[in-house]
Amino acid sequence: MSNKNTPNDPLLLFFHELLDSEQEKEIISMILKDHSSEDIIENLIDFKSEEKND
Amino acid sequence: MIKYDYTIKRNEEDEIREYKPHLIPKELSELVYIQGPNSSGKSTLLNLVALGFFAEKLKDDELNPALREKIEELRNLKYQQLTFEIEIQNEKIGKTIRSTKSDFTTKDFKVVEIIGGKEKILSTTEFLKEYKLIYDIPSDPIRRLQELLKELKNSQINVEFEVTHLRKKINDAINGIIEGKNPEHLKQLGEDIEKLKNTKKQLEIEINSEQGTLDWLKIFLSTKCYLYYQSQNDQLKVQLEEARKAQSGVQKKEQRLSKKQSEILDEFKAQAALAEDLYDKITVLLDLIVPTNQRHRVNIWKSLECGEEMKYPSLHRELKQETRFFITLLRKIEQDDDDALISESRFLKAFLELLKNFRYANISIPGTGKKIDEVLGELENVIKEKESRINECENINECISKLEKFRLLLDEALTDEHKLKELREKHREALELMNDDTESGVINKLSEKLSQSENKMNYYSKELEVYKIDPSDAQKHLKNSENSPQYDHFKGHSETQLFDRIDNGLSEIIAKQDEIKRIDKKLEIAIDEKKRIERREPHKYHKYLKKLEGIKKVVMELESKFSIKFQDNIKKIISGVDLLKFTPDQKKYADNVATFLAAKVRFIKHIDKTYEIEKMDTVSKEIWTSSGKKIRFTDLGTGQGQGAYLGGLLSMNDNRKIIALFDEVAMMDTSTLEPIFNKLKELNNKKRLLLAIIVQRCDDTVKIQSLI
Repeated sequence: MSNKNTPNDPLLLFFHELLDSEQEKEIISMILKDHSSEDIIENLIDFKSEEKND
Repeated sequence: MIKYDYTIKRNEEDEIREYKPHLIPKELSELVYIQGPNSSGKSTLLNLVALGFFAEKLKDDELNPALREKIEELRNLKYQQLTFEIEIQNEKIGKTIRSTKSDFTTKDFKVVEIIGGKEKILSTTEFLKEYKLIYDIPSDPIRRLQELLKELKNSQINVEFEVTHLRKKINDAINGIIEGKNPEHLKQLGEDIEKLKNTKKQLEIEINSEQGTLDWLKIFLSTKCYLYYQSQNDQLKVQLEEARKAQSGVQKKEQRLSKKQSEILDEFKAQAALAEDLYDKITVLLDLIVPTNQRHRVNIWKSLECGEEMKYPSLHRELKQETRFFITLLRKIEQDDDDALISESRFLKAFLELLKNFRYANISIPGTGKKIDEVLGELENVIKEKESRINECENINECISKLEKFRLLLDEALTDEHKLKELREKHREALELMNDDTESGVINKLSEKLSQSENKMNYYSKELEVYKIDPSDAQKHLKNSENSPQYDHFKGHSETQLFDRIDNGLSEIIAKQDEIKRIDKKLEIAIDEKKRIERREPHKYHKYLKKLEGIKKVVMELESKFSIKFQDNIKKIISGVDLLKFTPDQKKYADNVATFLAAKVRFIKHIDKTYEIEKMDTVSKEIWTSSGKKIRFTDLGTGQGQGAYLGGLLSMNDNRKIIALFDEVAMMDTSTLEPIFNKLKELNNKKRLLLAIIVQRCDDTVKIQSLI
């Protein structure tokens, strides 16, 4: 599922209001934007920028 | 554009009737509003579109049961047969889908997707993944607002699914890193291996040390206890000898006393017999000689038991009294008698006896002038005359003599009784001593103790031989052990304590040996793993293991919230639980749901005005507008409720292309429908809408309105 809504997407906002940490919110945002699990993981570990630096 | 055609052959009992599109055009805009009377074919169109694009595969809460039934009926071969072809073409999206059923006799149909002129058959799963079919008849629009909640619930489930999938991917990455060539992991393994080796070495040292202590202890125990039991044996032998001697002395004493008793008893029996004899004889004499005025005393005498008085002289004294009485009485009688008469009678008898010896001698007795024979005759006459008196005197004398003897016997019996009593007491004491534990019981105990002590000594003697120590050198070895550093610690230990210490030491050694075995296994595994990992390639995320582990925790927490907390909360709201039973957390959730629904529906028409919605509370069934107005659901016109509901349905987050079929929107007037139409147009502009058909009943002819 994906939602090509704006960052003010009501569903996203709904979940954000219920979540505690920024990381949780970031994860849900990426899920609702239909990112793949691999993308989400690499974003969270900041993989691509670190690999570039390497 | 939607192009369609169908043929329905229905068995109406009296005929097989064919139905084909006739009032509604076979080509319609992809966003179309159809009004028409009953049986104009508008519901059939919707049902066929729904059927042809897998409406039957929708979940129960996604398809109205009444509609499901109608769709299933279309495929009921029992009374109707069907063919159709429905093609939806959307140039904006650039997709065309077509559903075809060409065989009357089967239920099967085929769905294809055409992109860039290429046809691809779509399975149910593939279709449902790409397209969202919404088919509804808003029958109870106010209540149907609850359906919006179900959509939210499904969104939550979908997010939960994605979160779970993410968690699994993270797990796979972590496992891949661990199994891959991870320098951190290798370093850790190396450290673990080193640690295990060190631990093993330490244990080996401890085992050797303990073994040395135990060897020393065993020798110390054996020498010490051998000497102890040897000494104890000697002491016990002496004690046993003394006890036996003591016992023998007591036995001899007992035998002596027993013999003495027996002698006294024999003597007593003889005297008792004698006394009985005397008693009988005295009784006869008393009968002859006692004066009449004392006859009653003779009767008393006769009533007494001589044997009893002889047996229990201290108890019975009646015979003794009577004996004394009769002695006194008879002496008095004797004194009253003429002594001269008695002397004379004695003389005469003695003279008679003398003369009898010379009876036949012819001799005259001087002074008498008579021959002996003559004098004898005269003497015998005189004696005869005096005989009874003489007899009486003799009886009295005899009786007195016998009474005196009888009295003596009675006195002796009393003495014997005392003696016997004393002897019996001493005998009893002697017997007690013989039976007492302090004598023979002590011997048994001493014997047993000596036996045990000898066994122990033999045991330790054999132990010493095992250690190649001559038992005769035990003292020397014990002396030498005093030089050992362990001596001071163990010198005060008892035999049991030493044994316990040895047992504990052995147990400890075994436990440590087992520990070494376990360490060896762990070492083997760790070394193998290290070799295995060294041969591998590192995982692409190998530098990020710690980060991933941290993220995994966050994702698991998230998963838990969605799978448990949020699901529970949405269920509570859908089932209409009283707000009073909500926890503060749940109230916050419900409040967010109300805000979310408001954001979804956005506007509501109430009476003559359109309001922007701030909150849409399905628990308390109230709508709050941004202008501060509160509208109860029950106050809404039904059409406005439908409008709100349909608006919400279309607003659900879904990137799939929507096929929206709304039937019998009769409750809704133009102004209420307008937001729906606007919503559909918006979706169409955003290339999210593949097809939308809105149908409403009216009494007029069929009216078709394209909304594009």
